[in-house]
Amino acid sequence: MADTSLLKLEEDESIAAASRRLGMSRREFLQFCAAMSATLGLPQGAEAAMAGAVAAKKRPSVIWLHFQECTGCTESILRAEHPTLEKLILDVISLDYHETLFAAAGHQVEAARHAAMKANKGQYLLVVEGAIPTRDGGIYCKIGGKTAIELLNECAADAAAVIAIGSCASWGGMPSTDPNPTGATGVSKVLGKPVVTIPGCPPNPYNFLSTVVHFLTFGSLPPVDELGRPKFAYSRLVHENCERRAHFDAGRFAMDFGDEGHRKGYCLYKLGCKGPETYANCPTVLFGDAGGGTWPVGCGHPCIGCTEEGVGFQKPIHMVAKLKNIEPPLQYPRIVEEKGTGATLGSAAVLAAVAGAAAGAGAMVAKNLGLSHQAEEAEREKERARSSEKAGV
Amino acid sequence: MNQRLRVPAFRPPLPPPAAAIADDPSQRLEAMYRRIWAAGMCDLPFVNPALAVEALGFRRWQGDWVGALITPWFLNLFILPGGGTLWSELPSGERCKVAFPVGTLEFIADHDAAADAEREIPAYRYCPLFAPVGQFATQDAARGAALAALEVLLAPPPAGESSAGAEAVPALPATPGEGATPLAGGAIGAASVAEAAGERGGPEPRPDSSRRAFFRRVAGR
Repeated sequence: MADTSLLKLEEDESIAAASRRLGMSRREFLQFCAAMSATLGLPQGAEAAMAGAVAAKKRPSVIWLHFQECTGCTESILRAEHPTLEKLILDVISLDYHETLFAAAGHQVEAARHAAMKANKGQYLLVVEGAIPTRDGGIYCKIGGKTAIELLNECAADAAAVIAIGSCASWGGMPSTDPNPTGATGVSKVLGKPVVTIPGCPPNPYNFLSTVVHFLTFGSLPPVDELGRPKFAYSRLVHENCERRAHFDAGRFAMDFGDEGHRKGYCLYKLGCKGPETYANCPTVLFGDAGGGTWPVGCGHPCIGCTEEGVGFQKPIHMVAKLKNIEPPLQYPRIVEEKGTGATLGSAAVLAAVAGAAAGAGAMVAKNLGLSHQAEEAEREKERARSSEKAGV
Repeated sequence: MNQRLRVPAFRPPLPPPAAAIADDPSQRLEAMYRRIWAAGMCDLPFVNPALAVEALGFRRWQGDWVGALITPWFLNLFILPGGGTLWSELPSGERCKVAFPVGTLEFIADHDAAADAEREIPAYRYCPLFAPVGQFATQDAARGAALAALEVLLAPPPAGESSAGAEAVPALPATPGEGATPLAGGAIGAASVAEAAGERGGPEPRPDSSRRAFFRRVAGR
């Protein structure tokens, strides 16, 4: 039924106008909305709502702040391989302040930011790219005479929602690596409240777009995990959906760059692949949307875990990854759109029964089985350790 | 958004048709994984040395072989070619959904060209259940989990029941060094599995087929 509603939209004038605006065919546009809806794990019918929202709704005003970063997140969005993705992003949002893209400069720009914030008070999306230096009163990053901390607090005060894009904004990323001379910190710590994070270096523009379209369609951001990451994109380990997974389980490893196993496309675990401890949808939507079927593991380089705090920019690239438990493998919908499906009751039943049997046999399996987001747990533990450490000091 | 862009750069070719296995494949499967264990896995940090390679519960299902395999690095369900209707050729690494009485499970196809076609099993499909397997203290514990998985896999689930494990948990003796956490963890585990089933499986009846059909229609294929 959802299909027919979407097909009916093909005749809709606003859809036609939207697709003309975007330089896509109507069919491509609807296909895109369907794929995005499936990626987000939404029920049937949501794709039509999304298509309608993209075509007709007032674009949300976006204030985009840059702090300690390389502008790679913006670059990846503007240079997405899908020729229409960046058009879509710029069509879906009204980018009212973006230092890299603004033609204006100086006071004009700051005036535009103030005007946009005033006109869209409580309605605008604040997107933050880059870490915030906190040491020495935050003096290591200043824009228009204001420190990053001041600017962030000022813009976040009246924002409808805050999105931290990229690993730097999410938890500090590359600027926060030891010895972290500027005290680089993520957005949520500086604001003192959770924000949606889209980590990655750079993050996939598709994940950002899906998040924004969710906001546009439903007025809220998609469900997130403990670290603020949208579950549709960050609930699975890279290892789980990896195209080289079968090589891992069968013990076929590349031992050296360029050796026989490497040329045959064997598993990169022994070369330091962080896929087993990194949560991201790179294997399915492909890292960075760079096109041509390429993503790091796909073209023979180990995953460096850029989306994962404590892994990316911290563990050496050659260091062998810690193998996170990957259960339960079947309860969540896979993130591959074209094959996307909700988990069946059956698969959960198998796991539940196995958990029970194993627990009865005296194993610790049940404990591991039901915990859907191992990362959350690890994070919680880290948090506990950190707070007790603070209390101790 | 062109979905065709999102295909892996490297796609292995379709393997030659697998020979049907006439007798119980357990020994051949074990032989293969013992070789793999010795050759590439035994020195890895995540393996569980308390476990040994053991195939168990292999039986005919729709003419093909279905069973479980315990190794020091995983506990997986396996489908092996037996000349039946469950098996079909797939390129190595490809995922596929296979329907069982309990529901649909996702299997990964693999074909190891280096495997001995006589004494080992070059083509198989597996469904990852546990990896790594550090949580099993003994081979018996792993056996229990494997057999339970097979039993549930092939028996139709009672209506509205998906947390069969919840009752078994309170019987668990607290493991030394772990205090009371296994109990609580177990209960939470089973409960959240059930919850996930309700949440994810419930409200979305068969989205797969219609979504696929939709994509085909939209893509004009």
